[in-house]
Amino acid sequence: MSESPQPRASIAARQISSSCALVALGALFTSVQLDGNGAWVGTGFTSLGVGLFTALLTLAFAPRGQLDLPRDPLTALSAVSHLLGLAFLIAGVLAPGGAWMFFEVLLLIALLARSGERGVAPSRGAFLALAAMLLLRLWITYQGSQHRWQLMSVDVPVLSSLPFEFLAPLQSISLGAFTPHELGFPPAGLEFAPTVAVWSLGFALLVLGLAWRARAASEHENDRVHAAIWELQPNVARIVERILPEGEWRELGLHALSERALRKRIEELVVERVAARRDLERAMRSANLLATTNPGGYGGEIQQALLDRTAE
Amino acid sequence: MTIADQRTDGVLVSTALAAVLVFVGAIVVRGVSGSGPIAPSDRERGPDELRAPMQFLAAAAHLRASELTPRVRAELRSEWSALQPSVATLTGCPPTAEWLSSPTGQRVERLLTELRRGSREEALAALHLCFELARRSDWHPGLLARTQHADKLAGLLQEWLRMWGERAADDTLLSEPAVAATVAYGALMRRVSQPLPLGGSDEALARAQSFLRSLLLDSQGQATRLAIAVRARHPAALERFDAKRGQLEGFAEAFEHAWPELDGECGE
Repeated sequence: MSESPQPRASIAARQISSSCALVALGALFTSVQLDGNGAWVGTGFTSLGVGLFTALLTLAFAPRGQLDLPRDPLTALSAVSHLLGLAFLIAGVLAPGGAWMFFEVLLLIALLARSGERGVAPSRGAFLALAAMLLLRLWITYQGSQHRWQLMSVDVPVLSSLPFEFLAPLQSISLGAFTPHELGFPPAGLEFAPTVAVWSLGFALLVLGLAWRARAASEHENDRVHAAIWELQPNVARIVERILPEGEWRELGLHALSERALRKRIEELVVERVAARRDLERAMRSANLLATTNPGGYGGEIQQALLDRTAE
Repeated sequence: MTIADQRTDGVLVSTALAAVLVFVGAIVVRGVSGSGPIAPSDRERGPDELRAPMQFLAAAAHLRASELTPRVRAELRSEWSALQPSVATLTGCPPTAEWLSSPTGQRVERLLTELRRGSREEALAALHLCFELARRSDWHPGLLARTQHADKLAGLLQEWLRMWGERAADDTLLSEPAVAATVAYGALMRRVSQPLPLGGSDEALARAQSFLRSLLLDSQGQATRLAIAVRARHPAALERFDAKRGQLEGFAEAFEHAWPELDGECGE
């Protein structure tokens, strides 16, 4: 098996840059809305600021994994894309303002920090929660586009069926009221259909881009580890790769290490695993395996005596 | 480094640069704020375009009616010149449907049809005639609930709106008159559907709702340009349009507020 690390590294690197471009495109799509004058205008910095803050907290409190420190422009772009992508993704699903937004932020921090791993795309559950929040945002935007400034209106039984105008204020209950200001609508109003299409496309691109970037970054790190191992003699490198299988490299902490620390860690792991294997083999050799089949008691004693005689 | 590697690096660098630029664009574009709504009537007009078109629908519309004459096409001009004064000087407050059945009324109805098919100025002339007729004829249902007169007048407005409603919403000359016609249509149909405080015609209400929905909502259920203009000019008009009862009350209130003299009884 004569493997050359260079082409693999190029593919992974190109995948990282492409996925970052996809994330950036998603970020752009979630940042615009079409107003009533037919002009594209921004969705404001408030939700992006809150999204960035939430993304930073999420990364800080993620229970597992190491933060990928950038070592070159490409890994720097990858790390920044991850952070910004997460920030734009959160900003894209948050209610644009008011108490709703801060309630959602608390929920997101809890969800993302619990399910997340540093440098890795949010889990499927977290994406589902984000999609649910996007749906809520699209719903309240739709309600606003219809000039209905509440989440929903529930008819009061009996009262709502009475044909008296003076009962109108009592015939229905508004749930989750909000104002046009909280929705962040442009002064000329919002063109609902194209805006929703662009936001949804942006969300899809961000989710896809973040997942692709995480995979490409992992592949890129694997390429680095592979290259470091293949600096050894080919026969030795093959043995090292059998001792340290590629599927375990991330769990063994070989990703995101500096070049020196990576080689030192590989060395430690190889010494540790070879020693463990040697100990195991020694224990296996010294053990009398037939003794494990001895049932004990009268028959067992006779069997053991015969075995001892055979051994002599 | 092989040519393939160089090409790979070129793709990689250009993609990475594009990603950086798009990220910067995404951040910058968030700060772009929109301007306030620009009404079609606020847009720049042509040098020969009629100014203040709503004056052609107002109480003193007859003072400017002669401005419309040269803008009516030649084959209709003589009919227009003959019939416009007869509508503007209509006396005795005749019932609308009955007057429209008279020889002069039939000529006016035929003229309206021709004007609706013409230019934007001719469309304004048609609407001018409708409003003059509404001002000088009796379409109030009264205690006997005679709704046929208001229904006839609403029918004329409906035909105009069907022809011009959508186009007029973005027109510098016709946007405001189209809003007025929509509100007037809703108010007239409110009289037709509920001529007396109790009871009413569900059929007329359903007819009005169906037409107004087709006019004010697009295929995706979103407000059309005309609906946005109506809401901007008469916020109360659409307030209860989606309610379970009194769907046309908002139109009636807005109409009464904007044209108090158009009470269906010639202001008497």
